[in-house]
Amino acid sequence: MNKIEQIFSSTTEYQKSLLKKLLEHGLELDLLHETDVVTAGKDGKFLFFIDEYTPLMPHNIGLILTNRDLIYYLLNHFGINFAHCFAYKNSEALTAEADSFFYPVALGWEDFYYPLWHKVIESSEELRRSMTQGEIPASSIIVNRNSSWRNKLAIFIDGRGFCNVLSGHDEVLDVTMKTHESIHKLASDVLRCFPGLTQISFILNVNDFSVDIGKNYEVETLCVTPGFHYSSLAIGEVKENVLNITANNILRLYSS
Amino acid sequence: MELNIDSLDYNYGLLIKALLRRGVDLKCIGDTPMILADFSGQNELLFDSTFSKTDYTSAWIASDKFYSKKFLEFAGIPTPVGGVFREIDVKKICEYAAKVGYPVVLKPLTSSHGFLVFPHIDSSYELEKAINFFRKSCQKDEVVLVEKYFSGQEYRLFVTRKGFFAVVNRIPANVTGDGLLSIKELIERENFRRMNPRANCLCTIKIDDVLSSYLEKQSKSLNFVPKKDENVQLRLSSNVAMGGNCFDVTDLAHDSVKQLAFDILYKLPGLKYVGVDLLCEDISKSLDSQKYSVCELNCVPGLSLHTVPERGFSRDSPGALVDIILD
Repeated sequence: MNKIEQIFSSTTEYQKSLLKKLLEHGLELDLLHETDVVTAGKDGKFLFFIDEYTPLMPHNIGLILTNRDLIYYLLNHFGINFAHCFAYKNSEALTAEADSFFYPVALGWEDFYYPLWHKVIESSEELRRSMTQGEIPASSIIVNRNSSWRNKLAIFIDGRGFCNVLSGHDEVLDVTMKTHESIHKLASDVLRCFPGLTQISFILNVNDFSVDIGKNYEVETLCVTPGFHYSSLAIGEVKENVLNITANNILRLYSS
Repeated sequence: MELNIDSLDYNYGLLIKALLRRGVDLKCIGDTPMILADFSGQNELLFDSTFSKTDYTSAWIASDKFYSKKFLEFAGIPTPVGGVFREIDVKKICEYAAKVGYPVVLKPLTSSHGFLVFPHIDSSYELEKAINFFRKSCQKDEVVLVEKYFSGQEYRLFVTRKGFFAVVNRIPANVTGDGLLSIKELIERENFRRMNPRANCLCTIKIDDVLSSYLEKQSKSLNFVPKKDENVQLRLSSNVAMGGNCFDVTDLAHDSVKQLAFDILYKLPGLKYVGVDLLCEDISKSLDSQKYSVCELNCVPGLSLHTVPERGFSRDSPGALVDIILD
């Protein structure tokens, strides 16, 4: 296996495509010896790629994004609705906190960036019963699902005005052009909550994306990479755009 | 929410005070360590002394002791040979230590302030003892790093892209006997002196198993009464948080030392400032004329070491960070 094949064998599809773009732009790729850290650069100046993280993530924001409480307080400070989740600590704490919400609540895996809500719980009794029967793993988080949103959107926005909106599960559609400008405005507002961040992806729950959403929405999850936009379900043009925007942002950082 | 600087970590408080001195408007975000700074139509979000000018992956490299080591090797900077062990396997660790040669240092991969660092292990017997202690004191998935011990004076260099440079010499915790008091009593007296009032960056000398075992190695105990003027070294680790002393030596630093610090910083484009832990015999001499080694990097270096050292000039390290924030 040559060096490049070795690098690509240990990265995600998204990261691999991104690194290929950087390679095309003349940056040299390598692995830090005995590690999974990818270095990109030349002439003694390097950027690092670790797991899903790229150098576009500022240090403070990388730390904040690992804590839903902090995100909640930050977005709340800027008047943005964020689905407040909390992690499973023990069954008593989980039940007490769920009871402080209005049912139904949703349980999801603790995998922070890509929560797949796997169980909607209608009542306190159901939650207790599920726990007794061992149906709720210790890696769960719980989120208020008082509203039943009709649309779940994946949004990517960068600081230079590029915005892309995807909708759907089995069939993912690019709905950017059909999206009401209030959603684009909200996306800019979410990005502005994180000074220094050049781009962000997030999941947004709304009922109808073609009308002014006002305060009738919920930001569900913020993502460190636009991986969802790059998933095989997304159409080709979106993939390429999101990738090019991200690569250009990285190259701008490298030469700054 | 009102800004309460006393509730913040000491270094974070120094940075916040420096921002206030420069007229930056600060707002707390709820009851969290996040503070929003407003200046000249721009924003910066501060979180526990971190802000957006450092990128996450570079910070990761600097805070993970193994990644730092590999980066330094990659960049051609001398660093002690070391290996990482993701599972604590005593046999494998001892085999590795024998391969690189004793003495070795055992430390956790990501801790700071010298926590659980065993700096001078002479034998497999001592290494096994340290590993067992490490196991008891750490979370079960803690990763351990073993590296070849490098002997020398310990210096913390602090550099920024705006040209700020400061150096302190850190000396491991020690007490000097008066012929009357035991080591334990001398430590208590020294701790009282340091904290009443607290006038510099010094912390109390903590009495723990690492300190006791180092005394044992010198055939002493906490009840031992040193002779008048007899200096007893209490630890090998020089971290101020573990009771080490700290002297500003910026003006003594040879140009090659300054050059080394800036070289490291400029090889990490994602960092705008960095703390570099340098081991060498004499900082006033050219690095070309002596053996030296960089043992750690720090992406959130302590500021108080430079603003209020035990001796020497005060250097405005918080102001240097504000220069970067406002840039």
